Amino acid sequence: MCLRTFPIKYLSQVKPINNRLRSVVLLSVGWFFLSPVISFAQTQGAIPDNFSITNAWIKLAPPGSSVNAAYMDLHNHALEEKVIVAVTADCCAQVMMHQTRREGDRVYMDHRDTLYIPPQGELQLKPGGLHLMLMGAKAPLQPDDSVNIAFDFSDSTQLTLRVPVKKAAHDQ
Amino acid sequence: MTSKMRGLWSRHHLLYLAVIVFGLVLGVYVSSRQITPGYEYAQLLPAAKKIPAFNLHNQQGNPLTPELWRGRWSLVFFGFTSCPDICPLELQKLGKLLREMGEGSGLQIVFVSVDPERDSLEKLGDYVHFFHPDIIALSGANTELARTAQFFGAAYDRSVIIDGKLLKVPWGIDMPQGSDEHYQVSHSTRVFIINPQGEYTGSFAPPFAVADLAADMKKMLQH
Repeated sequence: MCLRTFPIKYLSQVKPINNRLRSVVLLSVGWFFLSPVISFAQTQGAIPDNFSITNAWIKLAPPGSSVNAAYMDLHNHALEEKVIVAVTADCCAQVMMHQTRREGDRVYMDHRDTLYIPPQGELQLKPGGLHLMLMGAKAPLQPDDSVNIAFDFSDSTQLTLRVPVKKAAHDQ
Repeated sequence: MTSKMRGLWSRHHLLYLAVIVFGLVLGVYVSSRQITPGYEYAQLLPAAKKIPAFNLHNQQGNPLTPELWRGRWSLVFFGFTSCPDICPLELQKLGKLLREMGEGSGLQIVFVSVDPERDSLEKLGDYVHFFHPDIIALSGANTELARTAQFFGAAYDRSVIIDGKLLKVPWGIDMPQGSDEHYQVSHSTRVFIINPQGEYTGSFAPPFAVADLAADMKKMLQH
């Protein structure tokens, strides 16, 4: 069967069909054949190669606190550097990349625009260091909740991860 | 000088030299860690400082009185509830310390919020209860919080972006109009020690582990 001519030829043989129905059928048949191609393009362009995330968890915030911190290990198995340029989460209005910095007794929170993961290296987001700050939750996150966190890379790829909410890292 | 005398002289000098070197090394070690002999981690002040009256309130809305400090040891920590990383981390440790010391140990933990605009007393009550039901929360006006922090040497300030410009708000100053909910607070993470006579006696410098705090506090509670 010729893919290019099939819908037109087929529809031209259906005489009683009215024009509106004909358009709908034409679009549906077109979508049937094109959708695998579109979906293939999305997955091909979207996921970064040779990159993985392990030990991801969101710290349960105490009642009254409007922010949660997320921690994880980012592994870059590729030969080139990976750069995360933005992070979003489906639970929250905003996600910021932060670095806790100690200077003497004082602690500062530095905003980071990007996270660099060296070639064949890893970057740890851990308590007291680099972390994601989840702000403006639609509802306070509860233990056993899980959140979809999406990471946008500088090469326009994207990785989405489902991250559990826990009281401590070792909690199951 | 005979060769025998020279031998004695040099042995004595070697001994003196060894004592001096040992003393110097010990002095440098103690001063670099600023640790008070007798304690592993606590840094005690040369002289304890009487805590003045501060116009602060606890999570129940009751005013702070000198009675809070009397008859028990206290550990004081400054922070704020919108702190996602360090404050929960340290308060978790202090809550664990209370559990480790056991009920009736005579130790209390006091959390002072330096962010009254975002931390109501009710919110503070819920917040500290999460770490341990016995933790006391205090807050008040910015001027009074600054006075309290200044007494302990617990510097802090807040920074906010208004109209695209970063504005640093020093301690004691109210947050300006136009500040949103997402401003930052930089603050001391030292844990301050108050004795049962209501005197500020020293502190623990970060980073610290629960076991370190527990070891020194057990010694202090015995005295």
